Amino acid sequence: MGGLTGAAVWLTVAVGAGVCLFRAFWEFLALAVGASVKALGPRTPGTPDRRIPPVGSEPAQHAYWSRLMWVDAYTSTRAAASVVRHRLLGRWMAVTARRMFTGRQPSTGYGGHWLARLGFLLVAPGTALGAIMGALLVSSLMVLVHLVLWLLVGVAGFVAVAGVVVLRGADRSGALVRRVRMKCPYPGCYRPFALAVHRCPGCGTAHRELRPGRFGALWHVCACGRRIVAVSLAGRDRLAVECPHCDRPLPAGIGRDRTVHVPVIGGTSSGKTMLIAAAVAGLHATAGRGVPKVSFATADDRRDVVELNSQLKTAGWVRKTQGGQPRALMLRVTHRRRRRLLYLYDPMGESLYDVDSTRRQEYLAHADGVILAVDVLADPQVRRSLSAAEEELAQAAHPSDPGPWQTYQTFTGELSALAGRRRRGRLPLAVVVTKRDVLDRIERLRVPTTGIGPWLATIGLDPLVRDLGHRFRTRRYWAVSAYAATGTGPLLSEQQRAAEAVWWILAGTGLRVGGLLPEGRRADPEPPSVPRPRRTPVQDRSTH
Amino acid sequence: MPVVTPNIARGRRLLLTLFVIACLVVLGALSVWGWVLLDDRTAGVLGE
Repeated sequence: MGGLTGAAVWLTVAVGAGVCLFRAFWEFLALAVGASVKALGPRTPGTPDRRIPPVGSEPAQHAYWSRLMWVDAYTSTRAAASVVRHRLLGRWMAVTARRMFTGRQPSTGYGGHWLARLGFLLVAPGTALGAIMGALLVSSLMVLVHLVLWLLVGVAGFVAVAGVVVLRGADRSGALVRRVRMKCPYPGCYRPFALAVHRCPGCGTAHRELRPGRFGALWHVCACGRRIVAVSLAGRDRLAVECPHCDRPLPAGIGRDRTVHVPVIGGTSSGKTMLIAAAVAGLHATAGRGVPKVSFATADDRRDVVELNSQLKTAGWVRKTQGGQPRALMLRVTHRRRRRLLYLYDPMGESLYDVDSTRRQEYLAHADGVILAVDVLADPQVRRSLSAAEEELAQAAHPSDPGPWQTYQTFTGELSALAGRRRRGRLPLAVVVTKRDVLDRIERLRVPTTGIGPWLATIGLDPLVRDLGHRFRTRRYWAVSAYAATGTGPLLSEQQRAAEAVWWILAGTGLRVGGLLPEGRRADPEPPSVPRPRRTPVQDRSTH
Repeated sequence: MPVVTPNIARGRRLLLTLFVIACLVVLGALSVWGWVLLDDRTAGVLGE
């Protein structure tokens, strides 16, 4: 009996080894490898595939490594395991072994001669054992293969993520080094943002996440199929951009160049708009001599300045600034390898009359310098000192309302609230005395060539000069006739003088344009760098 | 239904390459292991 059992065992083992080595192992191996490879497809572009994630709110396809690579690897592993299990249980066990255990032919299922039936019965356990051994061997082999595959996939994923981190870090570092802080120039928004909305140059769709990330490290593929560069250093900033908050168009290159915000502050009719027109003309005139180069950031800015100049040429003056908050006039200034995007704000005088309206001028929070337009003729003390004939001249010059001291007080009070006391103290303040042509016709108000600050104190604006000295560590004075600098037959010297205030503020941002300032004033220190705008909300300091 | 893009096709070709590499690595490792095992056995038989 023991010998019979031993023979049966030997027979079973021998048949099992034979079935495993000569049939089942190779069959399972071919099936598992085939299923693994098939799961890594389709690989022909244009073929439909349910596993591919659809394009979501961001109109870009996910990078392969970010999602589909893991899905494909998982599908491949699962397909290999599934096909081995199905073949073992479905074909070998449920069909072949079952038929043999019942004495039937494994291929056809028919019975036959009793000797053949006995033979099938004898080799049935060995066949089942061989199939199980083959399946186990192939499974072990595929476990090893897929472990190595997952290791390689992990390395590939890590390399991709590291690439994203490096590229994003390089972009961020570049922006930090260049002190690029993007802000919206449009009224009602003025909000800072970390990443602008980029438009696909092919289909014009808005991409809100065009940076190294899950949609790609170096480039994103738009839903239209076009490849778009996602790295600032690789040329992303050449694309058309929009503000992510208000969706209005921004100048190209806003993410590459440092933005310098310069509000021009003054009462109604103090000559702010004409001063800006003169300064812009002066900036262009200076640029015409060589470096630096000044250009309009957008077509809208060019159109606005052309309209302003044509108005000045026909009427000799400009209408009072209307509307609510101002849209910044944007100029691109390039000097050697440094570039600046200059935002010049021209708020209407009424917006600085009271605390509430001044507080709505949110761009003051991130100003890099301020130009204060001082209309001396609007000061009551100055006016009281004028004779009747001089008073007529002053009236003809449309003096501003209210006076410079009152405007300055409202403005500085709210500037501290918006920008912070520390930042306010370090802001360079360019004080520009306007309407110089009229002042020069009044003997007692004739503006000296130098020492404009002390002169202002002597004519009755000593509280203003004293307070300026107290609140603003860096300040300089100019006197400009914007009337002479604009319109028909403008004076180049006046244009350049008007531009000097802007050059001086730009010099404080690291643009080496100090040489464009007059020789006599070059000894004056350039304005220091200004601390970055604070991120905390503005506190309500109003008293009830 | 979403379709395969050139990016996905490229990615899948890369994954297929990784699979082939994994197969070769396992095959190589098993061969080396088998060779070492065979060598030990052969040395044992010859030593006797």
